[in-house]
Parts: sequence; structure tokens; C-alpha cells
Amino acid sequence: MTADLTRRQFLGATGVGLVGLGYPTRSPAAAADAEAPTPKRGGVLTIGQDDNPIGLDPHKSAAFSTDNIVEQIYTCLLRWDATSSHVEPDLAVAWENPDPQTFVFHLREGVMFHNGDPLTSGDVKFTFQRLVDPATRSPWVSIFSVIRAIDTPDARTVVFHLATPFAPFLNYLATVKYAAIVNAADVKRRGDLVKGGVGTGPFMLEDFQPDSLVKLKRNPHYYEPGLPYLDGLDFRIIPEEGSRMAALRAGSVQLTWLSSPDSAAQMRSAANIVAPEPKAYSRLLLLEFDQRRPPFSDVRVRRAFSLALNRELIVKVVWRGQAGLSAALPPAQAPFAVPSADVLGLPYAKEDVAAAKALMAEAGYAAGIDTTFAVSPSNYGDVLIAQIIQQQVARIGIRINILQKEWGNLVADFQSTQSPISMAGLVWGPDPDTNISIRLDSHSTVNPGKTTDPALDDLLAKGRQSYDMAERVRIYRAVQQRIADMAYVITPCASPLRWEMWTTKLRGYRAVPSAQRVYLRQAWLD
Amino acid sequence: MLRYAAGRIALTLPVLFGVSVMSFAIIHLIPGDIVSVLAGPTVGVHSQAAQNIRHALHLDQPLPVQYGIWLMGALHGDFGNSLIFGLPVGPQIAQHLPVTLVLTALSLIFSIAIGVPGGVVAATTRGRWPDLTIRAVALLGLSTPAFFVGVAAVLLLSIYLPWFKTLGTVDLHGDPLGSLETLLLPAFVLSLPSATTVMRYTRVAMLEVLAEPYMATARAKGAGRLRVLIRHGLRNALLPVVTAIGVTAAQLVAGAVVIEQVFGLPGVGQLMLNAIYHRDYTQVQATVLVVTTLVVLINILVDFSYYLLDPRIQQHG
Repeated sequence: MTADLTRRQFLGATGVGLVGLGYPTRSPAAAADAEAPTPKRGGVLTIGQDDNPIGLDPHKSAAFSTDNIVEQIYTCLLRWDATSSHVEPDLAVAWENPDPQTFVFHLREGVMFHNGDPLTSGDVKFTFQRLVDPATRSPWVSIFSVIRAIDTPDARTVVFHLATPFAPFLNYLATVKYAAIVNAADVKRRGDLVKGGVGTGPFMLEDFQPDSLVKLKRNPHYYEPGLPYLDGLDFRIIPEEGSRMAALRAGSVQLTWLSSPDSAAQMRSAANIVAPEPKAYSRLLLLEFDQRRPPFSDVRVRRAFSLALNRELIVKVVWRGQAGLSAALPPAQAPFAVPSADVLGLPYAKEDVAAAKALMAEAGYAAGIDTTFAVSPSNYGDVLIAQIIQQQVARIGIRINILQKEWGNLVADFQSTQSPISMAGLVWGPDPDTNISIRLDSHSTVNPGKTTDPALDDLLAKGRQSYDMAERVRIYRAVQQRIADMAYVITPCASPLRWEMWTTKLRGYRAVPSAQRVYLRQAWLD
Repeated sequence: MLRYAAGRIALTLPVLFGVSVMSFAIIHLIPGDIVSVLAGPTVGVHSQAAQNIRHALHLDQPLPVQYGIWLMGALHGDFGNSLIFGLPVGPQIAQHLPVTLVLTALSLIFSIAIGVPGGVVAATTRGRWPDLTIRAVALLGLSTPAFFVGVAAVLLLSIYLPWFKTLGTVDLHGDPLGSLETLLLPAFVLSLPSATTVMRYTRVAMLEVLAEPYMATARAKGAGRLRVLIRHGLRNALLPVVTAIGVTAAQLVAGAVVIEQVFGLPGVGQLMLNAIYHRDYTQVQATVLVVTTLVVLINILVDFSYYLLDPRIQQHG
């Protein structure tokens, strides 16, 4: 399995990718034919970033803002394709899975870190040891503790021995946020990588001033021939969405993203900006109930709540139609996710106020309930959605008091039940197991709603251990069915994670459902 | 004079102490803590792993004990490391401070440049249309929130004056002139509420002075109108205006937080905002103290400037 792309394949794939994303036809040169545009070398791309990175150590932070930057500096054994649904070779050019608990990876020849050190199997082994080391305090300890032992028979081969079969393994290995490969010698020298480190990615760190700026420059030794075309990336941190829009218009930044469909619509009228309509809905909206106490400890009340909601209204009003109905996995997680068209066929998903009222009466709440719903105003749409839900469930006697809380406050409060209802927007997860097990498995230390369902735990455990794709799809469909039936959480819809937009001068770039900007490695400025 | 100076400077220490206690109390009393940031999304905030982090950072100790630990370090010059980055808080502040200082200084210059002439014109044309227009515009400048003006300015300029580089980079060492250009618009927006305050103080002070007999005497002696206005009028009206400037300088430092957020400027305001948002206790504590010191210094300078400007104070000591 070789990973070198020929130029024809690359240009062809770009064309297909762009067309597949609904790329407007004002650039016919991007279509997959012989008249493909020629990439140009040079230029620094200024990116409008919405948040400060929390340090640059890829193993220590789960923050989206850190991930956006380290994904340019580090690469992994595998990587995601443009649909964010299949893994491809990256640092590992081939791999085998001789038995359910063993993975053998063969590393690419001639890869160098940014400081000139060659990549060896020792660095890979060190990476995964560092990830499970308690001193690192990595958020992913629980994921990678499944690795029992790592062998490095030679400099180009790494053998992972797992304690149990672990189906999500390859998916995590393909995601920089989880498994960025670091240089053992460099980490030992620096102690930690919070201020930066050397990686194998297309760009290397030039300057990092916390809370101020991040400058990356081209890696001349990057292992994909000819790439990257850009000379560097400049991350400008502009927290205000309005200011970012203005900056993109004026050309102060050349690539940015917005989080509301209305802002995105405004940008579409600008002639010098490409603002494709995102087709992948990967941000799942999750309504969670605290199940430890009445009334939401009663499944009938939760089911009634679910029946009272009109999900399509939320999609139309809040997301202007740019969202999809969803079960507990967002539509972007195909084939595991229940497709949007089938969501209303799940238990208690279709609006039925009469049935909801009947359930409330049966549970003894015919007189109604007074409860609190905490939301964070910093996420677009959350407050609006809470208000819509407030109106809808008022019809069955649930009177909601909406509390707007700052995010840090919200998390702490919900996990100690100050507010029985809360809402979260989950970012794209590499595996169907990722988000569900954090939020709904009774063994998870997070499990905000304190769900305790042995049947669900059992399904999730099976899902983690089965390598058979068809069986996994069956299992996760059953999981989504169970969650809908028991209404532990309600998932009204899934929206795009971000509305990405860029100047027409940027070519060869494509936005992906996971909102990783990794395709900057093959982009160029005209 | 020296005793006066020593007294004023000595008063700074209790102020700083008081502020440190207050800011410590406030930041720790806000619900939610840094553990949710440090531990990540896979760890519950009440789980054992989270408790371990709290213990390592002394967050499970009673508040007075935690304050004591901080104070001991501070008295030795060690203000600790940022809980998020692990980097010492001092250099972080040192890197962000120049931007805020330049922004505030530019704003102050704009406030004076707009406010003082505006106040003088309003006073001399009292009751007529220039006076009324200036006062109306001033009310507008005072009432419109900074973030609205800022975002509107950025958006309008980017559409109608696309060559004007709004939201450029700020790198005071590498590109001082470019950075100054970038700071002009934010400084102007920041200066608007203060300019109106300065304008109103100047107007009132000038009106008082204009009514003084010595103004008529000077004109009668043959001095030109402008000379009378500036040399005899404005100079005497300056004292209350200097007070106003001193007060607004402190307000500018506070307003800088919003402006830095809107324009994406890497100043102390943004540093503090992020630290508060992430509950980075050591960073917040250190940054608040630095900003407090700045404001106190400005006020001391204002006090000293009376001494220089008003010969009557020099005589009485």
C-alpha cells in the first residue's frame, strides 16, 4: 500500500473533492480534467483564528483551538481522507492486523522531524508511552491504556499489543488531536511541548507568543513531494466573529471560519470570498437530563419531553435549514449514524403532543413541572434553541426557566445537578464510540446525566471490540435505538461544525467535516 | 514636597494589598474551576483524576490558606506560573503590556486632542449652534457602547475604505510604525467616551474662567482674542481638566479590555480576560495587580501635576 500521490491523482481528487462540497462553478479550472490549475509556490497565509490555543502540546490539550494549530505541525501514523470517514496511510505506509489484539505498522522511509532527526519506531513507541504516562496528564489516558505493550523489532516497524480487541484504534491513530507523533529526544530535552516542539508535519513552528500570535513556516523536508506550496501560516487571534468577517472582507486575513449560518450568508455576497455551504453535519446537539432525581429519573417524563419537540422547526429557525435531523450519532458519522431521513422513525422522535400529555399524566405530572435549563450564550444558537424548546414543552406542562451561564460555570454546575437540563454541542469524534461512551457509558467519569444502563454499556463494549464493519454498524444502530427509546439524552439535530470561508486567491484547499484544516498542506496562493 | 511624594507612594502598598485580597476572593468564588480545562473532556470534574489535579494545585485548601501560599511567594518576588501554560506569569504580562500602554497612551492623546478644543469652542460659543452640536455629539459618543462602535467601524471601513488596514498585526518590536497604524482605529474608538468627559470638564472650567474679570482686563489692555483665550483662559481652566484626564486615563485602561477583544489586540486586557475565562488563578492575580499599579501610578502623576501647574499649591506646600 503506497501513499505517494501522482500529480494527476492529486489534481483529480481536488476536483472531485471541490465539486463534492458544492463548490460554486465560478472556478471551472478546478474540475477534474486535463486543464487543471498549476500550483504556485510561495506566500504566507493569514488565518483568522477564533480562540487562543491552550499551549501547543498535542498530548495535553483537547482544546479545539490547540488542535487547529498542532495539526499543521505534527502528523500521525494514519490520516483521514477528505470525507473524514476513511483512514489512509500517512507516516505508516502499510499495516497488518494479524490477530484482533495485534497491529503491525511499517513506517515510511526518509521521514525527518523539523530539526533534522530521522523518524524511527522508537519515536512512535515513546509517543504512546507518553500518552499513558500519568505525569503527562493527557486527556486520552483511558483510550490508549488499551495498549499492553509496544515492540520495535527494527527502526521501521512498530508492533502494538492490545489488552483487548479495540475497533476504534485506527481511527484514533489517524487523528492529530489524539496521536500526534513526537520526537523522543526533543521531548526529553524540552520537558514538555507547551511552547512548541518538533514534528513531522508540513509546517514548523516559527514563533509562538501565548495569547498573541502563532507563526508557522514551511517544512522543507516534508515527506510528500512538492508539498506544502505555502511558505507559512500566520494565525491571527480575533475572538469577535464580526471582526473576523471584516478582516476577511478587507483581506487582513485570508482564511477563517464562522459559527452561524447568518454570518456565513452575509459573506457569500462578497465577490472575493469563497464560502461553500457545508454539507456535512458533524456537530451534534445534545440535550441532557440529570437522571438521579425526579422528574427526569422517570423515563416517561423524558419520553414525553422528546415527543413534545418539533425537531424540524429547530433546523429551520436556528440553522436556516443548514442542519440535519439526528440520532445519537451525527449524520456525518455514516454509515454508523441513523440517516436523517430515518430519524423520525425512531421511538419518541416524531412530535405527538397528545401522547406526550398522556405520558406526563401516567407519570403523575398532569399538573406540570417547573424546572431549569442552563445554556451558554457563547455558542451560537444554544439560547435560541433553549427558547424554542421552552415553548414547545410548555404545551405539555413543563415550565422551563432558562439560565444563561458562562461555559466553565455550566460544566461544573451540570455535573453536580444545579440544573436538571443542560445542552452541549459535541465536536466531531473520530469513532462512533468517542462521544457516546464519554456521555452515556456508566463507567465514564464524565457521564453528565449519570446514565446507568447495563444494556447500553454492554452494546458499547461490543461495539468497541468488533472489527467487523457490518456488525459495528448493526451495534451502533441498536445503540441509537436504545438511547432514543430511553430518552437518556435528546438529539434534536446536528449542524455543521464551522462555516469555513477563504479568499478566492487560495486554491487547492478543501474544508472537511471534522473542521481540521489539514488540506492546507496542498493549498496555494494565486 | 518630598514628604508629600513619599506619603503618596507609601499609600500605594495598602491599596495593592487590598486589591490582591479582593481579586483573589472574587476569582475563587466564581463557580467552576480550572480543572475542567486542564483535565479535558474525558474526565469528570468530580472524578478522582480531577481531585488529584486540584490537590496538586492546592485548590482543595481553604481560601485563606491558598491566599497565604500566594502571598508568601509574592513577597519573594515569585508570582507563580500560569496554570494553563506552566510559564511564569511575569514575562507573559511583560509581553502584553506594551500594546495596552501604547493603546491607552494614543487614546489619551486623542481624548485630549478632541476634548480640549471641543470644550473651548463649546464654551466660547455658548448657547449657539456649535455649542449645541458639540454637546449632542458628545452625548452620542458617551452613550454608544464601545463594542458597537468598534465592530461597526471595522465593518464599515472594510467595505468602504478597503485599503485601510483594520485589524492588522501588532508587533511593536518588529514593526513599530505598522503597529502604530493598526492601533490608531482602536485608540480612536476607545477615546470617544473619555473625549466627551474631557470636553465637558473643559467647557465648564472655561465658562467659569471666561466670566472672570481679568479676562476682560486683558482684552482691554489690547491683547489679541486668541492670546487671551489660551494664555489667560485655558491655562487657568486646566486644573479641573487635568483631574478629568487623570480619571479618564484609569477608565481607558478598563475600556481597553473590550477594545482589545473587538480588534483582536494582544494586550493585557485580552490576557486577563482569557485568564479569567479559564480560571487561571495565578495569571489573573498577577495581571490584576499590574493593572492596579498602573492606575495608581497614573493617579499619583495627576496629583503631582497639580503641584506643577498650580503655583498656589507650591506656595502652601
